[in-house]
Amino acid sequence: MTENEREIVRRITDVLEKMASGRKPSRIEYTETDAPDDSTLMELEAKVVELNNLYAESYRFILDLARGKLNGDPPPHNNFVTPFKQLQSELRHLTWQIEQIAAGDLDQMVYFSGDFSRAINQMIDDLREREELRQQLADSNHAKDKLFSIIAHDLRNPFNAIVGFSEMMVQMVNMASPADLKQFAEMIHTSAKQTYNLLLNLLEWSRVQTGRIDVKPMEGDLALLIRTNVNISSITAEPKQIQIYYDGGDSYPVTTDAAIFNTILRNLISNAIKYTPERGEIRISVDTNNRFYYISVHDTGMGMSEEDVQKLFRLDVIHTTNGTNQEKGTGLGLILCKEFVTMLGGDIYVESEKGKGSTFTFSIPK
Amino acid sequence: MGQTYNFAWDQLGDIEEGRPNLGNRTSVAVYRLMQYTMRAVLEAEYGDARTRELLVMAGRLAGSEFCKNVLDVSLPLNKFIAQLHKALIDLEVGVMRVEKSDPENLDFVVTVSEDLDCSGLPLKGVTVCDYDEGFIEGIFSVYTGQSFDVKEVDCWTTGERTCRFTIKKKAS
Ligand SMILES: [Zn+2]
Repeated sequence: MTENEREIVRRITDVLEKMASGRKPSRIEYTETDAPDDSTLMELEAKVVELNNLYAESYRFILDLARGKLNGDPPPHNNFVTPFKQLQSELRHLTWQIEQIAAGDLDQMVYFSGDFSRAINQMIDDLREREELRQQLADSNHAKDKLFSIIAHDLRNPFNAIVGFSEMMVQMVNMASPADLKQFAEMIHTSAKQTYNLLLNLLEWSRVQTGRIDVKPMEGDLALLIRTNVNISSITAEPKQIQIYYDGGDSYPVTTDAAIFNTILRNLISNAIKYTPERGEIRISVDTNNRFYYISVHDTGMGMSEEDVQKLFRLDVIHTTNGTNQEKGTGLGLILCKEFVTMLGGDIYVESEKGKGSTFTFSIPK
Repeated sequence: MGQTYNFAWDQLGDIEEGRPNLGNRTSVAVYRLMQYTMRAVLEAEYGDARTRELLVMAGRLAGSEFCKNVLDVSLPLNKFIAQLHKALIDLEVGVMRVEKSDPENLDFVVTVSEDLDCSGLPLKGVTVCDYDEGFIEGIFSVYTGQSFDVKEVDCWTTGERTCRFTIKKKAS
């Protein structure tokens, strides 16, 4: 073996020993030996140097990865790092997923090493459950606030009237004329009826909120249901001399929950009465296609601006306007209508123009 | 851009009616047979570079039609990506994962594992998922209304175990 060849073997041994030592490897430059040598030995040295450099590059990449640096660029054309690139890819994706979860996307499902993903997915499930509970709580809090505000504002007025007029009756019972007493009694009666209607709505609404209403559809006749409601409401419309007409056909077979239907129609008609001036008229009509009936309550009342229409049916905006005879309202009736119509599988729409009247239309499936 | 093609989604036909017994599936080998014989002929006729361009164009057309006909583009970005992920698994195209997303600058890195086009192919030293590049570009373009540069930076055929695509909004 020549001196040069011995030198090459020594260098190769050095490199291999260093690689085997476990110390952090570093790149080395291949230095060609000047004197003519065994070409296979030179080739071997070149290969060992290349191997060392591949190892050094992959070592750096893997070390970075182990230290949590996920964005390092893997060395190109280096097969040592292929499985670690896969790991890097998994970790990057995992990081992205966790970021999405943190931002509130609870639909993420993690697939990374059995136990790990089980724990994370369990956590996401818990978060989702908590979020749902939180939402329910917020909703019911909202409902409660609305309830209190209705009780505070709107139940108080008719009660004030009842208390006031009954007190006057007690004090004046011996000196008042029968006509005066009759007037007091009538005022008390009107207020009591108003309170009672509100109470009915409140009760039904709270039953909706607590999910205690079952829809029980039965076969019946829509025309009959509407006529009955028209008859009942006509009594309420009498003091304002408002005429209520039914313009629909003689008979429409329907399968629906009659009690819920009555509540909807009763509320729409009583609203129409409230906002229609004396001697006005209210018309009820029925339209149909092959899936739905559309029941419209049309009044010749004061109508609403586009802005006010937007506020109807909304629990978060308490919207109420006094009637033509300063009748009090809460806006609760329409919110109840909306919820009930939804329960029956239909929808509710409003068309209105200020000064020209309003048409409320709701649909129910046949 | 702006080129119109004689393609409509209904050209895929009524598969249920047409294949009552064999159904909506075929084998991956048959799919690849078609793709790689087509590629070989295109290469022989037009050369490597032009073939890549043509495959990207076809992929882009496929991606935009797929997006219009199969995906719901009204979803917000993260839901849209989740939907795409699910669709690609349901259709057994591959497992897409997001490694990086910068929605503001429309800059993404995604990987596709078990890719229909290339997973398991022999090593070639160059990427082969040109059609996929176009496909992803088509989807993102339809969804965002912007133009994109999509590049496959890693592929099974370059020795990786997953294909990696960088998706960047084209500088206008
Ligand atoms: Zn690929």
